[in-house]
Amino acid sequence: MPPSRNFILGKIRQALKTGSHLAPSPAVLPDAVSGLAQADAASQVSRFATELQTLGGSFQTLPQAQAGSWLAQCLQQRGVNEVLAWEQPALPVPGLLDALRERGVKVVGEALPAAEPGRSAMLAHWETIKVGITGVDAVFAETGSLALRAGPGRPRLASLSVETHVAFFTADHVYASWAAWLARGGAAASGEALAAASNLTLITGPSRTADIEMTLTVGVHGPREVVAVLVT
Amino acid sequence: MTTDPPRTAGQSHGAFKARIATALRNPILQVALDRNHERRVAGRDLAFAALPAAEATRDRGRAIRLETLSHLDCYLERFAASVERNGGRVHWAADAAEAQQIILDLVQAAAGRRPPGRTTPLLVAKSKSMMSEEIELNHALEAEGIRVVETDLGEFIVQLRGEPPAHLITPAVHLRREEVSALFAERFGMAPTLDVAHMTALARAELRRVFFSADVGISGVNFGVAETGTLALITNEGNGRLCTTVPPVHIALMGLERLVPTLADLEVMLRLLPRSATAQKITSYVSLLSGPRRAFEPDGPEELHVVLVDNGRARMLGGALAEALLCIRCGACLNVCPVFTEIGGHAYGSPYGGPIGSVVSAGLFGSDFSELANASTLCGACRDICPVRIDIPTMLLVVRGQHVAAGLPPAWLRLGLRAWEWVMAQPGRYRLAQRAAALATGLLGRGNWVRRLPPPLNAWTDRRDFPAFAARPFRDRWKIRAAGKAKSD
Amino acid sequence: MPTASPKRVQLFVTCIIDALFPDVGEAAVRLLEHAGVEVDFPEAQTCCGQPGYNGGFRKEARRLALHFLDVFERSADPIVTPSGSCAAMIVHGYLDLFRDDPPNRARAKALAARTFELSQFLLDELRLAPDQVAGASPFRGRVAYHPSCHLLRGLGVRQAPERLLAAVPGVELRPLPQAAECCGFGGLFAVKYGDLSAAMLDNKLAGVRASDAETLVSADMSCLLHLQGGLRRDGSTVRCLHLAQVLAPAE
Repeated sequence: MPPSRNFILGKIRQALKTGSHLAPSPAVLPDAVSGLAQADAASQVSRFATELQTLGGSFQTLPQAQAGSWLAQCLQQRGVNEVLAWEQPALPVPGLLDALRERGVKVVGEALPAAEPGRSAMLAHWETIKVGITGVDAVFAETGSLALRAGPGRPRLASLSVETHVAFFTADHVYASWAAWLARGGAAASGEALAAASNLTLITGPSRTADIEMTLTVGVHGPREVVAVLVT
Repeated sequence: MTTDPPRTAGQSHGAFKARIATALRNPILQVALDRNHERRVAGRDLAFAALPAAEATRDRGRAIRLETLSHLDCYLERFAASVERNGGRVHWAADAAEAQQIILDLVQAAAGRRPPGRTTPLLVAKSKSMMSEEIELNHALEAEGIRVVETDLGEFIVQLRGEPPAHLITPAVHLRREEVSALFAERFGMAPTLDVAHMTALARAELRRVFFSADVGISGVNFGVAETGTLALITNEGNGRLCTTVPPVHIALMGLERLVPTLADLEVMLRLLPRSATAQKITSYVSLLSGPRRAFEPDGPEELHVVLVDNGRARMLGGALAEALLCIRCGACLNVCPVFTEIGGHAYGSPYGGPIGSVVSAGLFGSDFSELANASTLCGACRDICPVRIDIPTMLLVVRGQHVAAGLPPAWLRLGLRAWEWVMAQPGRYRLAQRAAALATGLLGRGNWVRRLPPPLNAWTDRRDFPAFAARPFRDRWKIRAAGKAKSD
Repeated sequence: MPTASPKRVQLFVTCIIDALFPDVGEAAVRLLEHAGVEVDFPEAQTCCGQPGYNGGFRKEARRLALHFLDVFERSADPIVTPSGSCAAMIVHGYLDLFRDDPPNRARAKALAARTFELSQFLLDELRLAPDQVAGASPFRGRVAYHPSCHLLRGLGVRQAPERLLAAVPGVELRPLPQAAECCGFGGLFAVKYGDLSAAMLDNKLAGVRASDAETLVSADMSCLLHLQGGLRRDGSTVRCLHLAQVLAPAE
């Protein structure tokens, strides 16, 4: 055990023993879940769409059968023939990646080697890919947020190093808020699930900055474009 | 790329006053600070007006932070155990020097993960961390030949200029687009432009190379969750995500007070922090990092190190400034502060400026920094805006008390206050002093106002007239009135 | 509106008003008496201790706070003061000053419970109607109100002064831009950081000019000392008056 650990903890215990300078906590605490949790599914979806669009994201509803061709068309319009994608089992649209492959799109997303030189070489390739395709773990109506967890076949960079991030979800993924998900999302939203993956990211709209003169600029280091697709 | 250590700035009254004078005379800074004040405060008020049960949420946020600090030893142990269970490693640093050494060793060890044949200096991609400013990390790493690049746009800009950040949230708050344009033109040969989007795109391109070739990513931490060992990073640009995802080693640097007990507690803090900092309901990205890449995950860092830094916090916890440890570093008290809005962050000469910074600096770095707390009118705007209701004015007064106890005020002030107390403690002396003052100001003044007082009171009359003392004070008038009443009764 | 029962108060006039602006003290007495309040002036009063407290001279401030407690504990009547900042000192500052001295802290707490700033006392405590208080004022003119920080944020008195001003028949109330922002006085701050204090003063006076008021009113003479001093230096004709001077009936 490193000496500083015990030294520091000892100092803290000493401080807490002598320190009466902290006021007691107030007793009454508000409910963590907002009123939106009681709203019906349709109004939650519409709130999600409004929030996301306000921040410069896009929202789209598509029947499952059309998702593949719609996506392929989007890629074609952008002149993109390679995507960084989550693996098929992690996507809520069956056959989506095959539909892309059939149209000549190269799908990338296999695991990075842990060691060099393989790791950097593959990253250098990923860095050039313009579009990322992901599913979600949940979406939050109150803020227009997408919750994405790392896991098998779920590269983190698919929602990060690309210029356009397309996320597919179904009505089952919609929660009023993060608080509602924590309260009602079951095992998937639990602390154990969180700690079991290296990363859970809440994504709300495109990457942005206001660091120069407080002028809002979209697309700094992360995607300029976030497209959320509700598959019905 | 070196950053002047903020601590070399003198902390005497005179040195502080000189920096204030420089700030007051800088018209660019004045425009930028006014804009920051207007937009941030108005935006924050709107954001809270739209938050259901906003006041109760603030109460809850405060309660969470109080609970954490009151059992900090338990939560730290739980947090450390959780991080290690997730496969991360925890390092404890008692002070800045130990933290520097730990990080230096970790960065140098990362050389073992380099692609064969790479001979360039070790490269660190850094996302915003106030702790790294506090321990002057960049200097320590650069002194060992390591290249450190700040990747938050504002931090990137101030690093290129060789300056420390000027604000907790908006490091380049003191600059206009013209200065950034000139800087990028000089450093990257950019054709001069006032197009912010263009400048941002240039920074993106420059920094992208850094993310994808960095040996180590270093980040700060907004909150650590004790229950799950999760690090929460709350960002907008995406640089924080890249720094903690792409390089093979991620080092997260945090003050040891920056914990919350549970995930549900984190959710409450997340309602408060972005609204207070940038008037956002939520930032573009909330990254919850729980350990390094797992074997079954396709990407992410191979190693995760958490460096827990004390550097004065444990001592502060046992003292009268403990409440300042509740701070969640949102910067709202800076934005609302009329003093900060006149002088900006650099004038404070500490990594932590503004109202809370004046308390935290004295708490962490000792009475050398207690003069900062004197630069406040105690107007209370900071207390009203603080999301966790820190009584900042009272904390500033505690610091002032320590300043006096350390014998630091100038002699004229110490003597003056002692004389004041001697006079005021006894009504007879007080009355005599009133007469003397009336006589003196009567001699100095023309009419009822004095235009010039001798030093040190000339600091008043440099800008303001001072009224003459009344020849017949209220208490005399009261006596006359009482006598008159008695007669008429 | 029910009339308050006959009331007696102890006036804490404050050292600034006593020594520099005795007219304000007289106006406060007229105003209280007009509102049916009997006024007593404990003559042993001096200063509440705020300059020392704000300067970090806690030992000296404690001594004066104890003197204050001694003087005003002699009567059980409420303590009324025409100053937001001195009232805040007694109501909040003393509790902090005696944080490690439980017996005196208890004394301070008891006194704080019956200490009021003037406008707060008339409207919030006596629950008088504003025109009952201010309806007899002969004042005429365009007025801007500067809410002093200690009254506004320290004591949370947000409306009483302006409600009272609005009840003066001859007052035309003008909005003051950025009214809630500090004027930059801050006690010793104004001397220790004179140029910073002056910069804040300039902001406030720009607002005063924009308001087109002839009279600037506040419930704290310490702010007005600073504001009037600045206005005079600028050659402005705007005059500063304490709230009580605007509200009080003619002598």
